[in-house]
Amino acid sequence: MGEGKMKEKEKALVVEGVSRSFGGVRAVDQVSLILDTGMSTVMIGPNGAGKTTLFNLIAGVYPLDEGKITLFGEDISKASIQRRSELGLVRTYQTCNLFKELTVEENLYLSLKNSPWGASRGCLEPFLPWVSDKVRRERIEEICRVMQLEALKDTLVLNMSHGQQRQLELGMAIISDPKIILFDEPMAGLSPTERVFIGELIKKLAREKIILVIEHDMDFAMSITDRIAVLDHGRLIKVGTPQEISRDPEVQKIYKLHG
Amino acid sequence: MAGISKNTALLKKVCLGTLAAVLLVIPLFSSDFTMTMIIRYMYYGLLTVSFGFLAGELGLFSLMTPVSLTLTGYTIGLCQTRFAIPFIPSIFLAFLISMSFAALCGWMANRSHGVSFLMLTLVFSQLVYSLALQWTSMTNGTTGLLGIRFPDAMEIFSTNTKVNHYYWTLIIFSLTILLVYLLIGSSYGLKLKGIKNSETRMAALGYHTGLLKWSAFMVSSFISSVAGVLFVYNTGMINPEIMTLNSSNQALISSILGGVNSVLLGSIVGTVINRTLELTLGSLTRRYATIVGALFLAIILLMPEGLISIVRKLAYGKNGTIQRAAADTGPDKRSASDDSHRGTADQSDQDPDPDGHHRSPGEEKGWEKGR
Amino acid sequence: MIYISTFLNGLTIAGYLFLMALGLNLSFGLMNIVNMSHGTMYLAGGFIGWTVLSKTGSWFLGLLMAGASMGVFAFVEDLLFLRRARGNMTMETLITLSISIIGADLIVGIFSGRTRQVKIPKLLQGAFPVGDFYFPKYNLFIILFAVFFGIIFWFVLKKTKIGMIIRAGVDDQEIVSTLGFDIKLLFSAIFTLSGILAGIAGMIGGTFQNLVSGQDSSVMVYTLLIVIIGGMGSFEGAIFGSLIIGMAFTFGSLLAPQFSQFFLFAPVAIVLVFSPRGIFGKGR
Repeated sequence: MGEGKMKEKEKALVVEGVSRSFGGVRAVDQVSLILDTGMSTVMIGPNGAGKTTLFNLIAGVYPLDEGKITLFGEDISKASIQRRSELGLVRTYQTCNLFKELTVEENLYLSLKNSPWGASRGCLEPFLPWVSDKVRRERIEEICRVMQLEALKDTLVLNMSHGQQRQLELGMAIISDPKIILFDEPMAGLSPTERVFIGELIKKLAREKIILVIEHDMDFAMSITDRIAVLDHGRLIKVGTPQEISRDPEVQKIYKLHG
Repeated sequence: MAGISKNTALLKKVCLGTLAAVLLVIPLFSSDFTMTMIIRYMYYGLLTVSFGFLAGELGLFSLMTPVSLTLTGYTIGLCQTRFAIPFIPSIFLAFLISMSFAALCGWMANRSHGVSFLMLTLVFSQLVYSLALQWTSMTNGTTGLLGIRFPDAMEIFSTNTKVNHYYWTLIIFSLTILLVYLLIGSSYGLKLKGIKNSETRMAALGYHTGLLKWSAFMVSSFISSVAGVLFVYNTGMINPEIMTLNSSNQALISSILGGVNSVLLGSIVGTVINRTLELTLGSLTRRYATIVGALFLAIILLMPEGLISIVRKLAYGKNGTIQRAAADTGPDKRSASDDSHRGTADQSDQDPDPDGHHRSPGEEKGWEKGR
Repeated sequence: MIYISTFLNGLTIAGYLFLMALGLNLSFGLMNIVNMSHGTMYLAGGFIGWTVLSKTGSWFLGLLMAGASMGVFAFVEDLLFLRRARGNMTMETLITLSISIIGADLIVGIFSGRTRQVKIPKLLQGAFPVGDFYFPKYNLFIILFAVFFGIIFWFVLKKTKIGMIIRAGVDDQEIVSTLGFDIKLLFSAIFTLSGILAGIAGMIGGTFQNLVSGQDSSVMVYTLLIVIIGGMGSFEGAIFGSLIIGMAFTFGSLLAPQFSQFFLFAPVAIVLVFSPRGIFGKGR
């Protein structure tokens, strides 16, 4: 809780006393959290604790009731979703929200907006076939290799398995080389082999970038990073190392209560 | 597989080339009637493309496609018959007026989604219709404007008026189709398809979805305006009949008959079928609208990808060598509502999966889903 | 004085358009489809009522048959077609559109395209003197009829359990199934009810004005205007919307006959600019 007082302008993402209610229910209540290089964080908490709502607040899906969010020194509390994306914030979705009628390649192409590869080709762009866009396509090939999606490049998303869709979801998050990635339960519904693959990737990302992950699996959470935040009933209970978390009496109470 | 798709590409080129050649030489040995029919197919085809561009690329069903056509038509007609404004400025003025109105309507209609969009566009079209009908001192009411002539100076292809009209229409039609073809294949077209699939995701990726939707609306209106120019000079008249609810419906029916997700080919095939039916059935029975309506209903229920899907199956084989073709004829009738909470109706109906998250692949229908 | 009579006429038009808007709004709010065949049901109901009246001589039997036949029609439409596309609102709306195309043509085929005037029943002929002009009894009947229906619906929607389920369903369809209610049945019932209302409105409106082919789309548009102004799926919206459109209609014809139709659209444009979801529309 002491983080809110630090008030450092240089930090990548600063969430200060953010709240949001839905019809009288406080989904997120006075949450303060700082994210910065080397401070990748896993967020845990029981169902309905407000984790996804906090994500949506950071990404700009809903307006804040109170509080302030700063991204790289810029106050984004009232900024549009688009502006947040321009600043290098990317998120994934818990339920599949891919472009289902498009191919893998087309999905990745669309994800390149606001990236070094996304430079517009001028006013002629609407008339040039996107397939001829060499720079972007090289980047797409690269990501397809990393994500092992090469064979599926021309497959429509709706013809892919759930695991493949999660792979693509991750690829779409990293293709634009963002600064901050918010992962909303990236491992949900995956088979064991897929879990290993995606898990390794997220671990690697946790070291290279600033990530915030929602995850239920405690063991996996601890293997990603040693900074864990616990959310319950919309409040941030505790931020700390796995040892600190497991020793915290309040956290123990929550997890006993919820089984 | 690569060989097959190469063959189909070649086949496509051959078909297109033959069609172009036939269209070019038709005036040499055909009657005025055939030419009139082809001209009709062309301007009504553009009208359907105008509808199909929004429906196929963006998933928005508009009932105001004939509005831009009417506005350009009336402006050109008024410029010529009342104000004696020369040809070129009148064309400019026509586009200015129809596009400004479209800009306003597009802004208002884009604040709504899905079904409400359909309803708002119907209201806008009725507004223009009632204006054309009731402002009799300007528009002559139901009679409309008659005797609009294509300037003599434009008779460059042939001294035969019909042949000259035919070639002008063919050129403008082809250029517009080319324009739409380029737009669809470009990253712009891809962005529109992205919005059709998940608007929330597009916004999160940093796209200004409102602006993109509005621009697509403008493109659609532009196509319809071009159709208006062709319409007014070829028929020599304009009256409110062209923008009744029935006329809006015809564009929609044509597009869906052909295949709503095939913006160019589907629209044009659909228009040819619909207008031919209108002509042949119209001479046989007075109740042809019932037959067309029933056909339309059958297509919606049984063949949501339109008649084009038959051609696709023939060209690509039954199991769909090309994956996109396979996806277009997805077996399941239900649709998943992407990011809205409104998908519950189908869940409680038939969905065995209680939380509805993990849907099996291939169950999407081509339509725009939900709202 | 002319303003008072214009006002009362506006109230009358608002009365039968309210019945239309109520049905459209219920089906829109709950099922999220715009029933494009609603105007067709109005006209078909009117013609059926007229036929019954000319065969039996009873206006009230005509009213009953208009409502009943359109109720059956709506029920069958839902059962045969709409259920096949449930969940895909665009597709359901397109189905109702195709029904309206077929219906419009069949109405011309069966009842011919000629204008029909439904005779006012003996009981309601004549007029009351109001100041220095006469107010027709029949107009008063329409107003009272609409108020009567309004009160019944208000009571059912706000005070009974079924009304609570419907209102909950308008907000969130999921709730209906969690309450253990068969949503299929509820949809069918609401759609049938909206059909009955449209048929009744057709008979009443046909008596007040007349019946002519093509009216299906114009009445449809008026109803849509009401729904857009009031807010989709809102009961209060249907009341206020029909009042606004009724007044715009009569005062528009009085003040600027050349642009009377245009006058109808002005309030819609204003509402859309300031509140895209209508006056009582719920934001989502």
